[in-house]
Formats: sequence, C-alpha cells, structure tokens
Amino acid sequence: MDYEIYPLGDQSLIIQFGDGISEETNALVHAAAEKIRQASLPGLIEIVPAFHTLTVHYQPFIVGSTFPYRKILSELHTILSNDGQTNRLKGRCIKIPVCYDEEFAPDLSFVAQLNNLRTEEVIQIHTSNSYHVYFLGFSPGFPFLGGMDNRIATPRRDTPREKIASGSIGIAGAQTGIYPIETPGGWRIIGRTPLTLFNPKKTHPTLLKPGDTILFFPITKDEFYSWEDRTWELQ
Amino acid sequence: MGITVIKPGLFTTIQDYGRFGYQQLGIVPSGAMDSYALRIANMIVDNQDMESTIEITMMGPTLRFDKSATISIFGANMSPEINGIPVQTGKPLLIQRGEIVSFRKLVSGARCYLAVHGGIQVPKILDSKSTYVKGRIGGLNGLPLKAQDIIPIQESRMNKRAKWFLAPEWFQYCVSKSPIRIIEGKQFNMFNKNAKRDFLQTIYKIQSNSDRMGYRLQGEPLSLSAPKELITEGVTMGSIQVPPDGQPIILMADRQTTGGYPKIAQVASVDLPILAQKKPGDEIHFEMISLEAAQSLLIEREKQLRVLKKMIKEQNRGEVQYVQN
Repeated sequence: MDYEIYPLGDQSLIIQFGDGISEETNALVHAAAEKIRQASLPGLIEIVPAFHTLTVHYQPFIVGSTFPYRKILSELHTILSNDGQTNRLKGRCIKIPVCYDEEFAPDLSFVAQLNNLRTEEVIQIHTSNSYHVYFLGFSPGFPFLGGMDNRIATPRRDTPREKIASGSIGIAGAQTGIYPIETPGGWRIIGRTPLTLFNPKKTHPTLLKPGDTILFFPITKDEFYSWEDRTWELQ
Repeated sequence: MGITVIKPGLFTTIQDYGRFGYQQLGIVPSGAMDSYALRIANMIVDNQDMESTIEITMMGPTLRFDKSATISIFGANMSPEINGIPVQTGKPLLIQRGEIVSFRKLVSGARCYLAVHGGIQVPKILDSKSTYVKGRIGGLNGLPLKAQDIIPIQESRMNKRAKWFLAPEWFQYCVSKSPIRIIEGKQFNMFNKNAKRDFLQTIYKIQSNSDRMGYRLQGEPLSLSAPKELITEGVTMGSIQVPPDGQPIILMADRQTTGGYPKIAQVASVDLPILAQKKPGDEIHFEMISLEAAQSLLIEREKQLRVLKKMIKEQNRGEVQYVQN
C-alpha cells in the first residue's frame, strides 16, 4: 500500500493514496480506514475518507510525547504495514427516483443546450449509468459519485444559488450529486428526488454509505408528490 | 419551565464541544467557536468541560430565569447585568427565580458563553447538543434562539454567594493583537513566491460576510505557481483555504467536512480562541511557526486548563454548594 502522510494542522493529518480519482484508490482509502478503526489508537477522534485521502483527527495531548505528530505517524505506519485482511466495503444497490420536470430542474435545458442534446436525451443518459458512492462529504449525507457520462458534463454556475432545495440532483463538471439538505450551491440542478437522504433521528442518519451503487430512474410530478419513502426500511 | 427568551440577541445558539464521530457521513462537528471559553465557563459552574452552553454573538440576549440557577459568563465582555445591575464575569453567579439576565455594550471580543450548572437540558442529536443551523439539528429545533423560546435547564441554588473570581488575565486573549500563529498548509508550496510573502505580510480585515462557517479575509490576491484543480479532501477548523479569487477563507466551527480549495496554512489550535473572539471589521495578521511548536503550545494550554480546573474545584468546594430538586 503506497501512501504519504501530511499534517493538517496540529490535531489532524491526511493520508494520501496516489493522486487521482479511481475506485481502486478509493478502495485503498476505505481499507486503511477499517484498519485504523480496528486498531483503536489512543487519542484518535475520528477518520474521514474522501476520494484518495483519509483524514485522521486526533488529540495531541492524549497521544502524548513532546511531539505527538511524530508518535502517531509511526503508529499509523505500523498499522498500515500490517497485511491483515480487511473486508472490502459491501455496497448495496440503491434505486433513486428522480423527477426531471422543469419545476424541479431549473438548469436541465441549459445542460441540454450546452451539450447539444435534447432534454429527454440528458435524462436518458443520466438514468442509464450506475454511480459509485466514493464517500460522503460537503454536507450531511452528500454523496460524491463517480461514473457520470461526459456527454452531460456541465461547469458549475459562476454565482452559486443561495438556496438549493433538499433532494435536488445536480451536475458540476463531470460529477453528479444529490443535495440532502437545503444549502447554497453552484451545481446545475436537473431534477429532484422525493427520498430523504439525511435523517438525524436515525442511528445511522444517512441513506447512502460509501461503497454503495446508485441508479437514478425517472418519475412523473404526480409520482413525486405521492411518493412513499420506503428506502429507509432496507436499512 | 426554564429560561424564557425575551430578546434573542444577534445570533444566540446552544453549543457544546461539538458533534464528533460523524464527519465520515458529511456531518460537521459544529460546537463552540471558542472552545477555550466554553470549557472555562463550564468549569466555573462545576460542569463537565464539554457540556452545552449558550453561545452569544456580539449582541447579547435578554433572558428571564423561571427557575433559580447557578450560571457563569466567560469570553467576550458584553456588559452583562442581572435585573439591570452590572455583574462580574468569570465567577459563579446565583440567579433567583424571575430574575433577568441581559447584556449592554460589547466592550471586547465577539463571543461569550453562558453556562448553567447542569447544562442545557435539550436532547442530544447524534451525541451532541450543538446547534447546526444549516442542517437544522441540535439545540432548540436546530435554530438560533428566538423570542418566546424556552430553554430547559436544571434548577440549582447556591447556599451562599461565591467570593472568588478569575483574574482579568484570563480574559486578555479576547483583546489580543498578537499575530495569529499558523502552520504551513498541505498545499503551501503550490503557491507562488509573492503569495507566500504577501500572506505573511498582509494585515487582513475580517469581512462582513464571515460567520460560524468561515471568516473571509481580503487582501492582495494569492495565486498558485501553476493552476491546478485539486481533488476534494479533508479540512478542519482553522484550515485556511484560498479559492480561485485569491482571497483566503479561514474555516471555523460550522465548516464543511471536506473541501477542494488549496490550503495555504492552518491556524495553530492554541490561537483559535483568539480568532473566535474577532468580529467583522477586526484586523489580523499571521506568523508562521512549526508543527512541533504548535503542538507543544497546545499541550501547555491543556496543562494550564487542567490546573485551572483543579483550582476552581477547590474554590467552589469551600464556597458553593448546590441544592437540587
């Protein structure tokens, strides 16, 4: 496992695997996360996987020594060099209904125009790929997804919108994603799902987990308004 | 019954030390902007260091206590009063049922913490009582306080008034003009020579659109030596990101869990409380130190706080006794 470790201030550090986005690299990130979790390192607060990095937050005072960073560094090297088996993330396949009606899709026609497509073609392309959940970040339950078709890639808006409704499906460059809560955002909005992606009352508060695969399928406006969210029952 | 909010103040929220353990789900820790003040406010009323408090921003609320309580106020000086009579901060204060706590002028700093013996009795959401307004979680329905809100607290009375108080030196950091100490960021060396120099020489003014999520600074635009699109990675409180417009943003308590802008530097944790006490319009400048120095300062700070906690416990043992029902 090749990696490099960089400090992120005096209470965190970043372990970086390679320098690109791929499912293989991301699998290394999640495998390393699992190893570190199992090692129950004293002073460890939490670990945060991303595309090709794993951020480790720790308490220097509890880690101890006069230079805690050096100490935790050597402990991490030991943990990561251990060849013990880690389970690969068991991803589920989750189907996400999306209403692409213009009421929920202010940027759909722009995405179509920019890419010389008809809006139906954008929807067709967006719903034919499957998407890998690399990690959750940015806001509660927001999935960073890989696998979008480049034919519908569209740059972000120059000026972000003040409010993006929860459930909105967006495109930013060659990425697609779902806004679980209402936040400001610069992504091009092409639809909305009636599903709840973030529920703080649950012990596991996010619908999606890293390693999941998701598929989008189109629904009508009537279906959107009458949708019964059963997805959480799978959990 | 608890505390009735008569006037909410500018931006008043319930905050504890933070919601840790959920960043891997994209959930930010939030928590007190000034965790140093939070801990001291809690120590004064014999709470756990990380207990929930009321975080008050620049303009204080007016609060009516419908239960007697023991409280403390620590951090920024906002001229607090009980029933219109100015009170000393940094000590346990006895509030009788029906008394009103209010604030007048902001004299120094930007945030103060009102701790109540026993903590704020709101439910924990994902292990924390901290309010995260954007995610509508924690505190009172995930929102800042508004008029007529009732903040649930535990009733407590002291058998006599405490005579001890914290020396003014403990509040000095709220008016500190010293440079904010920083450590090189992960992408420091991607910035060009001018940017590295300017960043350390500029006196930055905190912009008006700064909040619990981040402080925006304005100065000479900072550029990378060569344009590069970064892959989103972890960030933390105190990370200083530079978006394409070249104006740095210091991430604070309600930051995102990950970010895609290059990080020129990271604020040394020991100076985050100083930063949390700055308000829009205030000026700051930076001084680079080593990671090892930053960690040893942080360890010193922790030792100092542990000594303070012991001292306070001893003072309170002699002077303060709580009656609970």
